[in-house]
Amino acid sequence: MSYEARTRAFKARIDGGERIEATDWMPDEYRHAALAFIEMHANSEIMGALPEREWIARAPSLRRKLSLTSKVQDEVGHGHMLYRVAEDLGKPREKMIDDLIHGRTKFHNVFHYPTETWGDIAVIGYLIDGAALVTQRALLECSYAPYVRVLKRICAEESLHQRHGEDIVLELCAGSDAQREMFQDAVNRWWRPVMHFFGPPSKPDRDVLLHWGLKTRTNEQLRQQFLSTYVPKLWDLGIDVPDPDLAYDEATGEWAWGDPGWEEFWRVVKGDGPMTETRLAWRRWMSEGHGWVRDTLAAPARTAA
Amino acid sequence: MTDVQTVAGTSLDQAKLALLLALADDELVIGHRHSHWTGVAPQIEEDLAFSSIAQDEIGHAVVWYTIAADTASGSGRAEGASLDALGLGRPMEGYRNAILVERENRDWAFTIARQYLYDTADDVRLEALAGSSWLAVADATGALRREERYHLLHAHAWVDRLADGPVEARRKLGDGLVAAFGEALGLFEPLPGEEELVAEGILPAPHAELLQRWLDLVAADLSRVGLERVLEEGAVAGEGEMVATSSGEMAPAEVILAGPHVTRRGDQWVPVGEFRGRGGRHGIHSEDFPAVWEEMTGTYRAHPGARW
Amino acid sequence: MRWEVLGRRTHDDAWTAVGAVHAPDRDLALLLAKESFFRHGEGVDLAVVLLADIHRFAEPELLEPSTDKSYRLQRGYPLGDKRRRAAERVQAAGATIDRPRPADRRARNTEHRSREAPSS
Repeated sequence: MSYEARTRAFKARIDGGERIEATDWMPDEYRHAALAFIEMHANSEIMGALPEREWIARAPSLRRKLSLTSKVQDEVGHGHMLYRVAEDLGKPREKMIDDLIHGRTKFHNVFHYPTETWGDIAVIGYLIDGAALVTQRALLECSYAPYVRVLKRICAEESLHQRHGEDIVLELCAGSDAQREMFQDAVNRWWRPVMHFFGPPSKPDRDVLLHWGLKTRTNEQLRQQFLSTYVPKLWDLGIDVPDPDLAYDEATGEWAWGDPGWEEFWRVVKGDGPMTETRLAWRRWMSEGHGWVRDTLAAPARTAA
Repeated sequence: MTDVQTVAGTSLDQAKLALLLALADDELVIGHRHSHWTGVAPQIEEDLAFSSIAQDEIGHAVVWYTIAADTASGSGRAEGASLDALGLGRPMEGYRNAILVERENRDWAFTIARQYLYDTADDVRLEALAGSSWLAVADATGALRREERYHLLHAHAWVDRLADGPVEARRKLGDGLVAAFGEALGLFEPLPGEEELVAEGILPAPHAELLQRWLDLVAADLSRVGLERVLEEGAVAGEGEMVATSSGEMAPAEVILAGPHVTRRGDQWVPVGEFRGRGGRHGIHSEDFPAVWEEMTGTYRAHPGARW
Repeated sequence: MRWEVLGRRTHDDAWTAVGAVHAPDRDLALLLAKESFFRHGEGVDLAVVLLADIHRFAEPELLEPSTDKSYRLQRGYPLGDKRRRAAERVQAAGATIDRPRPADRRARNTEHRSREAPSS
């Protein structure tokens, strides 16, 4: 069978709802798309640990110190599982981490921003984890089976994180004026990046990820789902959403939203966000300082344990 | 909110509190330092393992603070608010952790060296406290020691692995141990009121005795991995600049904790000389502490009475 | 030599241990495992691993946390009372925002009940 014929048969499997295993034959385009997509997801989990971990040291209570450490640990755990899935598509983990810290591969836009107050931890835990949960649950329909298996566990942990986030939000909203303002201020700063998180509306027929069933929903479908779930919750807490054009049309069942500044989105995902260089430089510095640890772990033990 | 440190009480009450705060503050501050590795450890699997150790230590601090708060209030289970007041609400000089645990993480070798020395010490102390006449304390040790067991396995696995080489890893581990060893002795600085605690059976053995037990364990491990140089080079406790009380005064040099040294006597390594001056158990800290205190307690202190 | 046998019931499942076989080498172990454990359509995937290559954690009791780790579990975040306090706080502050939004199930139920209200 020619490469083209095999590719057509492969596409037919996907269109018929079959799942692909790491050991199955797959066209190069599929392998590359799946690898880039899962690698970017893994990168995002690892880089996503940074903005939140800055507040582990500054957490306002012992309980929050514990829960935030545990939450960031889970994110690192997700990166760990996802890198393993990506590795099976042909790229060693060391190489993926090296590409990440040298800015050769990407990670989600939201992890390029600073965390200025505890209110930011509330926004990340509630809205960003909420947005991630919407997209990751949709990915349970993905055509790549090993990814789906790992996503099941990730989604279970993300719903725990989302609850952890809501818990923080509720305390701030039930708290002092200063606490409520802290959360409102964080929502104001983060709303545009959260809208960016779903990406600009895309043309489904030109989306290679949709073509291969790696994704099954469009950016806009996911954004609408997110808005329907979270905007009413924010309003009920007396928290305003800083988009004057945001409105739900009861006739169409769709949310209208204002331009969140896509040029900023493109600039950020290309590696020019407010914290991109600081965070990558720090990771590079940590990495260079600990090459001896990696060498040690890579070397066989000389003496029996 | 009650400030347990200013509650009037008998000298025994004060001594009991000094014991709990030494235990709790050691755990909180080392947990705080360890938690800095979460998300940035040199290897992903280790990131997960070390984060759990950090969480365990902070959780152990909560166990000790709970006993302290219950004791101060004379009532049952303490609420989160009173635990936070204890853990995050005290002035800098109110913290009774040993200086070792407040030191910066520096690098992975120092981190592992400190984790090994600290958890070995913690286990020695918990083992002793299992026999305490203070039942709340004795009862708490079981759960803590089960988690400490993992910490010890982890520390030994890393010490063995790094000591095994390559050369650079072995050298760095040795340097990390040398850097941490002297101040690790400060974990055994006698507590204020220690004689009374020992007389009442609350502290079943004086810290001088616990220090020797710890030293026996550490010397055996270091000898096994061929790093006895640590005992020779590292045994000068509590040197270096110190300071800073909250009023901004520098503590005069003579009050800062120093000594003892360790030396080999026959087959055994033993401490020589007494502790002189005062260290963490009296609220005297190193130049590294103000930044830790500020970072760890800042958000809590900025919003008095807030719920989080 | 003893080999542990792993299988996957469907492509969506993870590997699980299904049994063990005695065999002198890997190839025979795989062949024997197939007829030992997969005769009735028990799975879609099969693997073997030498028992000696499996290392058990010697202290399984350490797998159970012994101090409070409820912050790692859903039940560590009871939200009911917090939702109530937040709602009261929002009302007290006069901060409620009431704008068009998708009807959620609770809203629909309320609507439904109110239509039937006269008879209740």
